[in-house]
Amino acid sequence: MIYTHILKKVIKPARYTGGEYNSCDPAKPHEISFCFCFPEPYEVAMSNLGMKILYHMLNDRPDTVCERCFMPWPDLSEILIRQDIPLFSIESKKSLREFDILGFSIHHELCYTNILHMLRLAGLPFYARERGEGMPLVIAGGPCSVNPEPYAEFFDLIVVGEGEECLNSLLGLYLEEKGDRKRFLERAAAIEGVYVPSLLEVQYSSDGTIRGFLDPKVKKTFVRDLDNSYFPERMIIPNIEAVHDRAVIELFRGCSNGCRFCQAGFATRPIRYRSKGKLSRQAAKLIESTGYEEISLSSLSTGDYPELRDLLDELKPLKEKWTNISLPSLRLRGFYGEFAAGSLTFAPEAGTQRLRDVINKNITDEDIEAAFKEAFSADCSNLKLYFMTGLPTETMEDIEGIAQVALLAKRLSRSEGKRSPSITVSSSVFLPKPFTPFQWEAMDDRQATLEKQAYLRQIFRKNRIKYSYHDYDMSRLEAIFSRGDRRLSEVIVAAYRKGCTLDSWTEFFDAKKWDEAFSECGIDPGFYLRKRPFDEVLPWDFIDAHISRKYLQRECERAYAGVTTRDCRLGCNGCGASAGGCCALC
Amino acid sequence: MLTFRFQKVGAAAFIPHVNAMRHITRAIRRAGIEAAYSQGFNPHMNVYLSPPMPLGFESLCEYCTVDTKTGAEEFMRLYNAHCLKGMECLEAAEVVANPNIAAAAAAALYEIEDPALIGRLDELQRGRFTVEEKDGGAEKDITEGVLAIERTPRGISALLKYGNMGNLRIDRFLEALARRIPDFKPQRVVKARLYCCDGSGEIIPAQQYISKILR
Ligand code: SF4
Repeated sequence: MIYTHILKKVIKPARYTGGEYNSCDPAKPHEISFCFCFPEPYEVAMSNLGMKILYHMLNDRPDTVCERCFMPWPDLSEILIRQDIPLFSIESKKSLREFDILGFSIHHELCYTNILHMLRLAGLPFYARERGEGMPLVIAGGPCSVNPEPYAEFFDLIVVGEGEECLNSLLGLYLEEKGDRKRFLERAAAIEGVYVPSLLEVQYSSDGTIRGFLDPKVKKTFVRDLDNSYFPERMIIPNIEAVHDRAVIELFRGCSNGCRFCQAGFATRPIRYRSKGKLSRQAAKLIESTGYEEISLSSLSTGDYPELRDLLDELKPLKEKWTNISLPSLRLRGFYGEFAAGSLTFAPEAGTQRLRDVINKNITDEDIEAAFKEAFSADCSNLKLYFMTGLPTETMEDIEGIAQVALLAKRLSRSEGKRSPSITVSSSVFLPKPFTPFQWEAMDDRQATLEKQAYLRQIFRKNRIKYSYHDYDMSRLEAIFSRGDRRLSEVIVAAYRKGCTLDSWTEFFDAKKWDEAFSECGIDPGFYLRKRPFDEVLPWDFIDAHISRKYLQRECERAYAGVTTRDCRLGCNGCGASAGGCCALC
Repeated sequence: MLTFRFQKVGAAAFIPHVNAMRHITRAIRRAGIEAAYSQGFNPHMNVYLSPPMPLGFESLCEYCTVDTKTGAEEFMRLYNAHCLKGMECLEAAEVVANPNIAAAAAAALYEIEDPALIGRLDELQRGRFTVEEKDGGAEKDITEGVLAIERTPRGISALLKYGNMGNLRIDRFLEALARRIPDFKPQRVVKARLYCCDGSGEIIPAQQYISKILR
């Protein structure tokens, strides 16, 4: 095997050996060589559903071979740099430079330096404008494409929205224009969802805000007919355990709840369901082709799938074959004890009814109490509660409310539980995100956040409740990039040159280096964290995500008035996503 | 019940023991082979493996026992059609009880290919084997773990203590060889045979050990 001598020197060598069950045959005759690049290490990358879908979809094309390359762990990076070995694909161990297309999936704001690291290890310049013919086309997609601006200039093109159909069109065009990058990019820009950063000119005002854009809008692409869209019948099985190591079926896309902080809930609209017949067939096929002992019913809010009970009934034969069925992303009520006993996760997000109304988390105190009782009587042994601090309009009363909810769970676990379940509270820091009603909001400052976390820590310690919370500095960086513009690309480069990589890993994150990078580039991070007026042009305003700006503004105003908006299943609220007639609820 | 010998070669040699177990159970599930599961809240397939070996070394003699009624031949055919490449079953036998190879394993025979070893057999059979302690300090004598060394057409074979009753890891033995033979650069190292300790304290080949409890 190539590089055996290297593999013996790194921890977890199976991250790089390939040969996984259901992986592709790189020797298949092909016209396009595509390398799916995921800028996080193996265990994270191999958990990603988008990767699984696109990897198999591309390999099912007769003209394409799709291999993989993930962010190497620092031990391998060091060896590659020291021995001058170019970063290679997992399947054929081919240098990344030899591929026609490198397709990065960008799923998190804290992986931007990892993109640069992978490009550097591949021997490729960071900026698209510095790469020419003879080098691979470097493209991106994934959840962060809703605001791709901070990393836009590193890529030749970016797919905004869901990749399945758009990627197929792009590959068709690539075959037509192979060898003429400029013409390919010009023509690609006409495909729905394709954003070519080099074709967009951003104009700024003297106060640093954006005055406007010189180019037509980029329309988010999405799969119209989800039920008949591509979904793999097999899934690549990781050599070593991944974060999520199980088969997955995807129940639906979009979310009807309208929680005002949730980017995924808005950005993945319109709402589209897969039929239960198709889902149960897919589940059976996947278990047969993978041998997995668990299948996850994935979506943003699985309990909202209209035919969940029937689907679970149809999946019963799998349970008889020793297959666990997991229901992640359940809302507070209506979970199904027989499938979910053991460990349960609830996300009330805010501690008081008032604040839950502000964020449009349509659950009441009574719902919470009833859900706890239901959980403990269903023999739940481990209850996890998720909250956010720093939400718009929040006061200390709301923080106290978080403690009260957890203490209620503790009390009920004693009176209702069959055994003494463990209760874990986790709090993240609210981040204002593009395409949400809170996209104009400010992020809480460090001092306030630390005080709130300290307050909760002290209460939970006294009451023996486990408590974990997100690091403020990491959250702050995520907030800066999620609402950033393209001027931030030089900060990413500067931070990378200082040694920042794997920023989402606490053991590697270095806030000081990031602060230095901002000040060296003369960029004030506060500019990106501030509250923005409704009439300010936002860096992602050139993207049409099918959610109307007016709707988002109205939702923001309703939040401040403490008025909730009904779940779309009770009637369309007019967010704009139904424009193409594709919203299943409209 | 059925005990089978499988290989762990190529990329599969880098798969850790606990993950190898999962790959086996998944292959058995894919193959549609019926097997027994544990009772309890989180049932899992009853499979029992021989002791783990260091990552990155190939083996032709890993053992696994699975609680199934499927016959040996049928098992081998189905399993090999669905297993991870590099982890194929090489032989299988129906047994009346779990031979518990993890507890009985006593020695492993490694084939070490390196022309530099040829012609140095006498020297190797006589001298002592030492390695540096892991913390970089004193020298440690590991000769006790070396049960026998023989010549092979391409190098040597070494029978090393293996398992609960004393264990000399192959990577430590290679380190010791490198200290004695300066130009030592093995081209291939493979665990070729496993030996078990039977009730009387005798060390016998694993196949022979298993054959005592054949169905
Ligand atoms: S189009 Fe209407 S029903 Fe569909 S997501 Fe938007 S508001 Fe909800």
